[in-house]
Amino acid sequence: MRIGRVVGNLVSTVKDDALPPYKLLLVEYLNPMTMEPEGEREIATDCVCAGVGDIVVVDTDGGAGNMLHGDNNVMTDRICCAIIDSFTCHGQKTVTRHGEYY
Amino acid sequence: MITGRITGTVVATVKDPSMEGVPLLTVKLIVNGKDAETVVAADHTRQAGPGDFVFLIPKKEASRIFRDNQGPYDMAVVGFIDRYNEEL
Repeated sequence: MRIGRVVGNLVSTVKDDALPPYKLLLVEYLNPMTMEPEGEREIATDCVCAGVGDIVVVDTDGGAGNMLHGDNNVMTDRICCAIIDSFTCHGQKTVTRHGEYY
Repeated sequence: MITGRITGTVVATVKDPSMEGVPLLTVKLIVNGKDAETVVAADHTRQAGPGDFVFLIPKKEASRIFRDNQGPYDMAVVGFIDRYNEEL
């Protein structure tokens, strides 16, 4: 799983018949230490109602996608499975979402 | 999943028998907005042609997406992109 940021979304009507219930998000991966974008921008399905600008955990396995969506028919290899509030990495804490409990 | 643009088709009569009935396409992958390498992909939508802006699924899911007649694929065209919003 990797830390990424949602940077856009995708609209597609003609696609695999198991994909329609899931939103397609455009995700870029972040370096946890410097919060700099790195790697490629990829398309992920969403199962936590993530929106543009959210820092999310992206799962990169198809089998996990079936479990996350609870549907063995959906075929996806990138899934936004969590929206991060804050995380620490090598002792450095990064707060990414200022919810009411901060 | 990754985006790409279809550039052509591949015709191969001598191939693995489990690959029969599935069209093969040459797809130029688009990574971070720039053109990347061109790959051969299986066409799950069965209606894609050259010039279409599509998104593809790599690795194991490319063969699992063919549900009952799974073939030895590592990249499959999944769908056509109508709108591609990149806001950040």
